[in-house]
Amino acid sequence: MNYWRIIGSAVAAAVVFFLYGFLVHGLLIAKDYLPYPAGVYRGGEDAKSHTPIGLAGIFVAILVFATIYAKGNSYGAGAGARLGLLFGIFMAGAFAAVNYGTLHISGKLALEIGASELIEWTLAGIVIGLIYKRAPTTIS
Amino acid sequence: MNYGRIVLAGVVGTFVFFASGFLVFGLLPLARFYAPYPGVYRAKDAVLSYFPIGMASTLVAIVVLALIYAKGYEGGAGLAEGARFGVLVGLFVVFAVVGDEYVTLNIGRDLALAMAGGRLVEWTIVGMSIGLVYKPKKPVDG
Repeated sequence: MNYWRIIGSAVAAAVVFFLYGFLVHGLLIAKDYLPYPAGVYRGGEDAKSHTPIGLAGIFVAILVFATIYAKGNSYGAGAGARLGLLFGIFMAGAFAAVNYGTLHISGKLALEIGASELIEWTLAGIVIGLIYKRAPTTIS
Repeated sequence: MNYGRIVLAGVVGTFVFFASGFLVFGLLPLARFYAPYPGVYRAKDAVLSYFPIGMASTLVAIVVLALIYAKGYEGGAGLAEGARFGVLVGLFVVFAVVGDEYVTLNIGRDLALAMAGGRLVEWTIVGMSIGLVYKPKKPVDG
């Protein structure tokens, strides 16, 4: 595996991931988080003070995702998109839907989070597929 | 890829997931970490009414996980390769999900750490079960 390319592709994917997250969760569907300020979600300064941990965590998760991509047998934007879509389905099924059953949130918000998982991991996969290149093999 | 084995690995992985989840989060002391947050989590009876949705979505998620495993299958011993895959998935879940939940939900560090440890173990076991069940298609002679 080409470790430098794994790190480089993860950095680029993280930038796209955070940008998407800001546009969608921070602006587009931000109002759908508002009915739950007191109980479920952190608010204001409390949320801001925890954000660096979240950003670092997502970056490590994207590094792991890029490693799984690099371990695979097919490469490029298409392969990255397919793997990203699979991870998005995994996240929507294992966490967005399950959180709907366990957290005090509405079905609408759970659906929006699930759909967002599909898009953001597919985008991350495309970026990683575009940037990751296998290490050149040496011919003796 | 051996699609029949992918589905079977997904079904077995789902049973293993719920069994290990029951052991790790239901019976071990980890369950008590959820108790202080009734404003965040639904009550046990309410959760049970949503259980069919959770089971169906988890089955889909773990079949997809088995598909990802099959796509990257390197031909090694099933248990060891499944364990390596499971650790990677566990780390992914810890950082992408538990980290995110700690930041966004009104929960404490103790619960986040308990969830991180529990989920790492849980997904590693699921990866091992997928590795044990999945076998690539045998090449046809002739």
